[in-house]
Amino acid sequence: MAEQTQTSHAAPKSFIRKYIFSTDHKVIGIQYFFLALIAALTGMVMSLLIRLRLAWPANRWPMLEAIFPEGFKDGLMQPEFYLAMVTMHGTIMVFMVLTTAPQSGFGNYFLPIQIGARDMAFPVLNMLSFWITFLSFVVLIAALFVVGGAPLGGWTFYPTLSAIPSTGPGQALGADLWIVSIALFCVASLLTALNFITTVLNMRTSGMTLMRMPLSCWGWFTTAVIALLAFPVLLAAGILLLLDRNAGTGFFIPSGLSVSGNLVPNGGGSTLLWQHLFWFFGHPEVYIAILPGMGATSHILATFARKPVFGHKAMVVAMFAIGLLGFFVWGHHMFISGMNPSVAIAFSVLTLVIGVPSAIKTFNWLGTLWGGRIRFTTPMLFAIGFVSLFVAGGVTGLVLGQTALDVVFHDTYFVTGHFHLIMGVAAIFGIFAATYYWFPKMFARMMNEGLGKLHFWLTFVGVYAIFVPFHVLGIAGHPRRYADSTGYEFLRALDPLHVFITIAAFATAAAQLIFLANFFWSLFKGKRATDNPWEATTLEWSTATPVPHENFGEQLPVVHRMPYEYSVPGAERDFLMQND
Amino acid sequence: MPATLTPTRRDEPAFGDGGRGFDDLPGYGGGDNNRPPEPERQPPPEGYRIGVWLVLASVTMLFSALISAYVVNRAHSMPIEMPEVLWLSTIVILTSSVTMEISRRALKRRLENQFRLWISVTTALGAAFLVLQLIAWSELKAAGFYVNKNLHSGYSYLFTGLHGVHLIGGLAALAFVTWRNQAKWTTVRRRVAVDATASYWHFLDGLWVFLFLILFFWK
Repeated sequence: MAEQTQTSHAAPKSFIRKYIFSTDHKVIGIQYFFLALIAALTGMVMSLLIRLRLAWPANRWPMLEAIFPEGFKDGLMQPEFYLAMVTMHGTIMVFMVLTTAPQSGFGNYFLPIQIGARDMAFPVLNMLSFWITFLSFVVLIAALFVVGGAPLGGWTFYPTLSAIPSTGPGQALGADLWIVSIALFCVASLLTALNFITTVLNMRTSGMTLMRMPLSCWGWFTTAVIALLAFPVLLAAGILLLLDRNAGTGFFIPSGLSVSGNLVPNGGGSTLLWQHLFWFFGHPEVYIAILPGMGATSHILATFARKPVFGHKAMVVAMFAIGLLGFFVWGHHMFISGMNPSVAIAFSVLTLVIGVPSAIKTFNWLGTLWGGRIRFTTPMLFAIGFVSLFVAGGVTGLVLGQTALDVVFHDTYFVTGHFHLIMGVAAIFGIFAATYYWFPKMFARMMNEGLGKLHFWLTFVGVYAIFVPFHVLGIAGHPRRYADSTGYEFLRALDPLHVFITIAAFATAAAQLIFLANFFWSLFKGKRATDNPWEATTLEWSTATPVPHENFGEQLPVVHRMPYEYSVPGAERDFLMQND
Repeated sequence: MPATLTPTRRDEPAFGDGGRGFDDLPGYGGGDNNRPPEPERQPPPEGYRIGVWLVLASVTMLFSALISAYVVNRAHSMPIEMPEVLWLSTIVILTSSVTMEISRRALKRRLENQFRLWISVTTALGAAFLVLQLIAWSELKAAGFYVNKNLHSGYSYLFTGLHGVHLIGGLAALAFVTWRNQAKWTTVRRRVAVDATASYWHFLDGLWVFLFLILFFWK
């Protein structure tokens, strides 16, 4: 274990120690951010390929055949390729983007600064976590190109097909690499979580009580607690699946199974076991993706509404309540698995109870905005967009949490629409809000506001244009994951909707180019940022821009007040810094 | 006030069982003569202790998941022969916990030589335990219980193997606290590190007893 350092160390001089194998939490945060950016672009391109197939299943794409000769035989997208894209899109987005950027990226950069520490508790461990995550990403991408085809079991990777390599395309080496990649990711996430929790508990500066921590820190802290308890379970499931595939055990394979007329020799296990283990991790994972966004949103709404967060303590409690309840609702992913109805009722009730802390958060966000002197900057717009998407995706969660309705909607596009709005796009909006908000501190330059607002409006309208029709598809009974719905007469009427969604998806993807252009232009040519451009109150804005090595000068700041003291009566400015 | 007493007292805050918490620990990071005194508040040396408790939480989750799988699979009901050598390895790891505790207490009383002696004995016992586990594997194999013989044998290899992997981590921690250059850390930090290693070691000991019971004595 790394020695914790808080005492001054000279800044590393060599390029490799400074930028590649750095133990500085700020460099590691930026490394995570760029890894997530690359992953997000990869995942987005994959989603566009998925949309191509769904809108025009019979069309030939000779240009794409030149890039993917196997996947586009004769220019036609093969169903296996389609399923591989669905699998990899899901895996990359959930793990490499939604888990990586908001938590490990922004959390790494700003958690130590916001609590007034010089670095994470275990800097060497922190560096290891990043490089294991990087390795995990490389292994995942390698799975796309191996003999036997890319994995196509979906990001949930249900056995029994995924437990038996001989069951068809994509179940050979590609599937093994997928599992290895996820196992590595679990280890890296555990190290990160361990580091975050220790840092919060042990490294706060004088006067920084737990309740004085900004809500963004509470988001990262809660997420780390969830990750610490959820990822080991996925790791366990991955180890069992790897043994089933390579050591001839049968933990997930029922007895007497035959594949293509051949009896599978190993067996005696349970297919449903995987679903229990996977979703015990999988549901908390949803909160791992969204809670840092909730924290950042609270932080940003207060800054630009020029008001303290409404119900600060309630926000903290609600966040922890969501995290805790998340461990007891995994069964709602399995309502159609033949579960005992009274067990299903218990899972259903617990699921609906999550609506209570979620509503507390929503009302408190609105309460924060209420009567504020709102500054509509780009980060503020994205934070408000986050609230909008959280509500829009959340209400369908209440629909799906009810057993009777879920039995109908399960495995339709309704579910896809629900989780894309709340877990996908809402979390992405949290990432965008955080990017626009903290860019000045991270890169010492401002992003362009005009381009930022254009990016916001196009993306905001775009994601609703994509995902609201998903719900319509689902209500009409359109199943998920089908590469081809042309064979089903009752789905023919929905073809124009698929075309509409695909066009909206391409337009929204194009809007992200505005973001990229803005990001890289601002990185080099943007207006120089001052130390506190947003007139915010927390410690990251009290230190210099760019942030010096070990974050603060000679002396660590001493905290005297709560994090969001805006519009304080009688104060000289309309805000008081935490260390004023 | 005698000048020599002050650093000693600064070096000996009341922590450990019944300690006074983090914030009132006097002089964290003190006692390091190479650096000028720093007015700034240092993070308490509790980092290792917190870190280890978090590791234990996540290892507990890992094995809870696997044991749940073991129960759901009803693997315990499948016939398998217990390798007799596991009795010996259980005795060895239980003894190693005792020697770990002796060495931890020796350090607390600043008996450096005793500390080194007993922590070396602990390391040797840990290594011996790993060898005995490997012998147990070969006994299982000799009796025809390969990893894919049935679910019970599969879980036996998995549990012993994963426990062994975690034990290797424990051996690394033991080597770290034994051999790390003492000039590089303060007495307080070193003691917290040894305490943390001891917690991890006792946990692995208890975990092994639990796995041993559930694998071979739960019918």
